[in-house]
Amino acid sequence: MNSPSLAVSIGPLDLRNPVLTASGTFGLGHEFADLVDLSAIGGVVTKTVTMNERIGNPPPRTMESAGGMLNSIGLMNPGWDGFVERTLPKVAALPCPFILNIAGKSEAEFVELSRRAGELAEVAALELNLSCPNVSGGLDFGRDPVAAEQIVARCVEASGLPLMAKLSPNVEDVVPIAQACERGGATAVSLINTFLGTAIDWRARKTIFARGIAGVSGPAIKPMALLAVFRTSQAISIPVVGIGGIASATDVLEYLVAGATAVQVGTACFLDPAMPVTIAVELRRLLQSEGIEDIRALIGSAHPSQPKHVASATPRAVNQAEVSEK
Amino acid sequence: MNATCSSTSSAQMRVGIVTGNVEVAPDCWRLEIRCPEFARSATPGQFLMLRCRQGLDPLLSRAFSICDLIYEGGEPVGLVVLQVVIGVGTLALTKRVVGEEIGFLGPLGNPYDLGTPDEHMIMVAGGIGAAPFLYVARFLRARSAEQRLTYLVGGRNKDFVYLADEIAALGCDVQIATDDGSLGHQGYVTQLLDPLLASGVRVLACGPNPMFKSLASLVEQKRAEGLEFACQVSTEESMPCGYGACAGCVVPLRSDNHPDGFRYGKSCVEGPVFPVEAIRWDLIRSIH
Ligand SMILES: Cc1cc2nc3c(=O)[nH]c(=O)nc-3n(C[C@H](O)[C@H](O)[C@H](O)COP(=O)(O)OP(=O)(O)OC[C@H]3O[C@@H](n4cnc5c(N)ncnc54)[C@H](O)[C@@H]3O)c2cc1C
Ligand SMILES: Cc1cc2nc3c(=O)[nH]c(=O)nc-3n(C[C@H](O)[C@H](O)[C@H](O)COP(=O)(O)O)c2cc1C
Ligand code: FES
Repeated sequence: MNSPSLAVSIGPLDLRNPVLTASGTFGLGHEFADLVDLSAIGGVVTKTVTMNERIGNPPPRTMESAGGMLNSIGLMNPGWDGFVERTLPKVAALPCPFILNIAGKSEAEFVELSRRAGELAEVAALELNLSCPNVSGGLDFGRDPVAAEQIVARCVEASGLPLMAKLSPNVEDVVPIAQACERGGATAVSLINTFLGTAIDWRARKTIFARGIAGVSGPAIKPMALLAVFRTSQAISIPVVGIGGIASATDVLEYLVAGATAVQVGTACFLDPAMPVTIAVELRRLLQSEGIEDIRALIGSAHPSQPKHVASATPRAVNQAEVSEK
Repeated sequence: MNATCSSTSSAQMRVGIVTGNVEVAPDCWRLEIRCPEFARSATPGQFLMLRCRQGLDPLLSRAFSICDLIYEGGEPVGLVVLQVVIGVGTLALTKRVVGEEIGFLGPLGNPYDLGTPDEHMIMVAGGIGAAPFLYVARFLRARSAEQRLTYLVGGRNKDFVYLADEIAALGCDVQIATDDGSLGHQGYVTQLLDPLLASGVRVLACGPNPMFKSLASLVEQKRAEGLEFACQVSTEESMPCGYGACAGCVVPLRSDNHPDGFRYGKSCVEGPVFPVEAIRWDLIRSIH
């Protein structure tokens, strides 16, 4: 058999393989270029960049949990100017697409950041963080379909870039939000950001995190994230980028079969910066040994034949699916 | 032994072989790992991120100081980790067996600035904060047979005083403090430091935050009295990745460019060694 084809496309954005890094788990994307062969992965996604510098939340910022971790980083980033000054000059040399993840405090800020990003040749695509649990108001744009549609439409227009809308699982139902993003002209939706959780210091009778809540990530969230991908990908016709607990090539294939076109590796990067590369290399080997010539043949292959029939994993999911079809 | 090697930090995944793993004091284990490439590039004060067990449970790696290097024919071929059992990760490490492969990232972080051999070097350790100082002392002795080296080590009681004999054997003055007086001076290790502070000394410290806080105020007081000396601390913030990817390991650093006079810096890449005056100790919580 010929070497299998791993190439996928997110709208106009061609990826040599479906493995991307997830926002906030690989620095600003350029720091590890000397260490890791980025030409072996599909692309890097930056830590969320905001208009102004953010110093982030007070420690403790993380806590391990069974099969995962909680984080409350608070979007620590150098702000637009710091990004342009320190990161941008290094981006052109990266051997893979560079996807800029942004968040605004208001719709106007989202739009202005998108406009500025649209002027940068180095940026291959935008990811809108409509879903950060660790800043006040961070989730607001990702909760309401009307707000989501409008913000996506305005950012698409302002940037002219392929745009991925990154959504939160901490909503009644993610499907109608994803559908709103599609209507707004999003190129893809990224599913999902972290699940809300907390951690308690029982002796101190206190929550561990200053804000009381944090985001749960890692292998522990994979089944729920996979369900979000499985359900949403059947309800929209733009690509879904799957995120949540990916730590192996088989995890990637499960996401693709569930309906994802590409994936992002997050928490698993903390074990080894080369994790996304290792996964991409293993992915090729796995396809080869299974005799699969084109990875695209797997996308959505678990979907039931009628595209409108949304998965009924739980009675609640059925209800949500019905609601979302109205 | 090469006492002039320059420092580099590298988050490269390495696979070593466990060549020893024994309990040397109650709940304190000495783990030996063979990995010549790592040992050749390590410098005193750097750390590594260890996979405690094979597989993904526990998920995150754990940070450990380089306690010592192992030499064969004068060449560094391996490293020693001295670890105290705290929870799942450190417990899993005690089950590692000789001959087994073990993964780790490193060497990571900035080493101590070891100054020049004419300075009186004072190492201050609290609890398992002792770990980096065997390698530091060995390195300094190899650099100069004459340099005055002092090791001040504190612990809860005599069972929690680490590396006193090993470091004394390298020709260092050793003084011990225990909270309960079961060994050495009864009280805090910083009380041993007070009379030794003089202009031109160099202090290297590693231990828990309460120790650093009292060290920081002692240093401030002595400097206000006109003494001039360097003091560096190696912080122990919890580190999910150890190489700058997550921003989970931050410490508050003085900054004139920020509204509240501080910013958060990633201790894994900007540290773990900092000049004591760089850190805003008033903003540091005193747990662990
Ligand atoms: C730079 C650095 C060097 C260190 N050097 C040594 C050493 O040489 N010897 C030694 O015994 N210990 C050292 N530690 C502390 C060691 O990393 C912790 O004791 C260990 O992570 C505890 O893991 P656990 O699973 O047993 O504990 P748990 O409490 O179950 O761990 C839960 C989580 O908290 C983190 N954590 C808990 N306690 C600490 C701590 N004190 N510091 C950092 N993270 C913590 C763990 O990494 C883990 O993610 C060092 C820490 C740092 C940051
Ligand atoms: C420490 C940490 C920081 C994160 N920061 C961001 C961020 O700045 N922006 C964002 O969109 N997602 C952020 N995320 C979410 C991840 O990109 C990802 O959606 C989530 O962790 C689930 O994937 P995983 O299980 O593979 O980690 C962060 C996650 C972690 C663990
Ligand atoms: S431990 Fe992840 S940035 Fe320092």
